[in-house]
This record gives sequence, C-alpha cells and structure tokens, in this order.
Amino acid sequence: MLSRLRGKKPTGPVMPKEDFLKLVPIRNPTIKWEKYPTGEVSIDVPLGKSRRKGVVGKLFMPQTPRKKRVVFDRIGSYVWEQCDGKNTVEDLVGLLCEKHRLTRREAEVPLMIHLRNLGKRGFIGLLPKEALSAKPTQ
Amino acid sequence: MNAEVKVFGWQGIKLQVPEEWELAAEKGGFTKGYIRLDDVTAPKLSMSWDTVKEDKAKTPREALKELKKEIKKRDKSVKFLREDAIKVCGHPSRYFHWKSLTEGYELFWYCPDSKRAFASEFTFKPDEYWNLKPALDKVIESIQCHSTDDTRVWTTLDLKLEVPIEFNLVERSFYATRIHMLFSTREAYFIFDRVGFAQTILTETYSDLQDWLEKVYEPELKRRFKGIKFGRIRSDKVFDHEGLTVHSSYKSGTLFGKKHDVESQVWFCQQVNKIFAVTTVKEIGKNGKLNKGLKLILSSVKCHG
Repeated sequence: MLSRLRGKKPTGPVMPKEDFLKLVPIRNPTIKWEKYPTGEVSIDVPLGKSRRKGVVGKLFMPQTPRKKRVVFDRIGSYVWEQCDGKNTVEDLVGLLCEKHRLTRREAEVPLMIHLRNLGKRGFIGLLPKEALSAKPTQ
Repeated sequence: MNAEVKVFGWQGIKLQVPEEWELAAEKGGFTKGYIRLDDVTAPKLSMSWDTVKEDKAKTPREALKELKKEIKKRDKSVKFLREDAIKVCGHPSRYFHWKSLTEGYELFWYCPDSKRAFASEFTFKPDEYWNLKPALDKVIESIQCHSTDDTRVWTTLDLKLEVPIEFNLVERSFYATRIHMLFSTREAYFIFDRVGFAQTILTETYSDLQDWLEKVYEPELKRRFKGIKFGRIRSDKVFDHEGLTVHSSYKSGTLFGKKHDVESQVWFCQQVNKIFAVTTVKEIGKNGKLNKGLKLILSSVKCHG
C-alpha cells in the first residue's frame, strides 16, 4: 500500500528469457531512419504537435509536428539494421558474437536491455515468429 | 546438453560445470555470499554460503527439514521425490529432489576446512531431468568447497585467474563490455580489466591504445590511488602483444606514508577484440612471497587460447 502512495508502478510478470530469445524484433514502419556514410543510423522520432501557448501563439504560430533525432552508435546502428523482421533475438546474439568476438553472455545482456528499451520507446516491436509468418485471414 | 565441461571458480569454491553455464549473479565475499549460474535459457545452479562455527552449524538433516518447509510455503503443490545422504568434497551432505512445475535438487553441507555452511539449489524443467542428470551428478561430484593448496581459481565468462589465497576480491564489476576485478592483501593490489568491443572503442571513441590509457585507465587509477605519480608511457612487448607499460609510484597514508611501486601493462588483443589492462601495486621493500604471489596471478592471465 505504501508503494502505491509513493506512486510506484506495480511490477508485472517478467517474460522468461527462453521466450524472449525467440521473439523477432521489427522496426516501427512509421519511423523514418537513414544511415550515414560513417555507418551510424539516425531515426526521427515524432513527438506530437507543438503546444501553442496564449492567444498570440494560437493565432500566429503554425502547428508543426515536433520530432527528435536519435543517432545510434555503430553497434546500435548494426542492431537497428538487423531488426528487419527476419532475425530472432537469438539470431542477433549470434550475429553480435561473431562480428565483435564476444562471448554469448557479453552480447546477450546488453542486447536484451537495448531491445527492451527500443521496444518501450516504440521504435521496434517484438513479435513471436508465428505472428509474422501467419497468413492474413480472408 | 553439451558434453563439454569447464572449471568454474569463485570465492574459494571450485567445480566442473557444463560449458554453457555462466556466472549470472553473485554477491558477498568469502565468509558469506551467493552465486548463480545460468545456462542459455534459465538459472541452473544457485549456491549460498555463510561462515558458522562447527559446533553451531546445523546438520544437513535439520537444514533440509527447514528448506522443505520454506519450499512448501512458497508452493503448496510441490512434491518431495527423494532424499538421501551423499558426500560433497568429502563432507557429509544431504539432498532432496523436489518437483512442481519445475524440478530441482536442494543440497546442504558444512565444510569444517573453510568453516562455511553451503546450500545449493539445482533447477531444471521436468522434461530435462534424464538428459541433465549425468551432468548434475558430475557437477556435485566435482564440488570443491575449500582450497587444497594456497591458490584460488576465479572464473567469469571465458576469463580464468589463479590467485593466492591471501588476496581477497575487494572490488568487481561486470558490465556488458567490461570486466573489472581488484584483489588485495594488506601490502599489495592486483587490478585486472578487460574491455570488449575494443576495435570500435579504439577507432570511434579514442584515437589509439595510448589515448584510451591516458583518458580512461590512468584517471581510474588516480581515483583509486590518490596522489599516484604516473611515469612515462613506453611501448613494450606485453603478454606477446605490442602494448604499453607504465611504471608509477604511489604513497599511501598521510604522515608516515608507505611507498608503493605501481606497474601497469595494457594491450589490445585482436584475436578476441579486447583491451586488457593489468596493474600491480606493491609496497616497496616487501618482496619474496608477495612478488611470487603477484607473478603467479600475472602468469595466469591469458588473453586468448
């Protein structure tokens, strides 16, 4: 009860690691992104329309959609590019291990944290393989 | 289940575990602590220990009786399949096999050599049991809860260090891309760091290894050893790689401070794509056994192969 007074969110069930590894990360198709010649990827994250304050603001300021640019480092950019709906999380772990000569755990822990963060921010979705391969019903 | 095994060592405990089991969590120290080893998908072994005088230690039977009550409280549907006496590292021990949605073994024993009481839990899925049983039996058979010589093995990920028992692990961090371990006695320190994604770090963030040493490693040493005076950085053959060495000095204490020799060696191993940094700090004038100890640890550092 005290935690509710403090405004703490109740923690929900945690997905077992085994199931998380089988999910397929896929980029949010509404998010625009580009890759620079240096290999870094930037994504434009829409932030919603700007607030126009006051009478003057409402009359004279155009209501332009706001966006924020996020630039990934090379490793984050590589992960972003691999989130193409074809690789499971397990596949991404393997790819990182091979590319950067990491042990499984060295690749797995930061990758899972990174994917969870991307998922929370709506940059990617994490879907079961079956959901991606299921044919649409007529 | 992979038939390959590897040595796992931590806080004076040593055992043979399947290749894919890794240290996933740990806390505490030699006198009281906890470790958990996971395989690719789930926790497999957790072990906790506490220092207890031999006459105050619970018998395995008493300890397991309490454990059973705790497990029953957590999960009323649990069934206890079997209980038996075995030996762990030559000490009388007792275990029971429980089953619910998952299954597991609970194992308890007292080690009078290290004066520690140990409780271990192995967990697995019901359909894994018969495949896993030979490996579990081997793990239990291989447990060494006290050192039989004057060294301890420390392993994490693919790293293995042999450290004299007088060196305690006083600082460690295992971030995704960095392992940091600091062992110390009253007169000396051994500091080990291993940094992953080295190629990316040395091209994107820093211009070269010396740049990393000056901007990252030396400031960290400075924070730990206030007043350290760094010597000139020299290129040198370090652990069969082209690396860098720095001889520095440090004075501990204020009025009658003790002088210490600080030797740092840093190198980049392309084969494993990692930066390695080892530093020894020893009180000047304290040679003999201390030097031997530090040399032993250094000889156990292997970056590849």
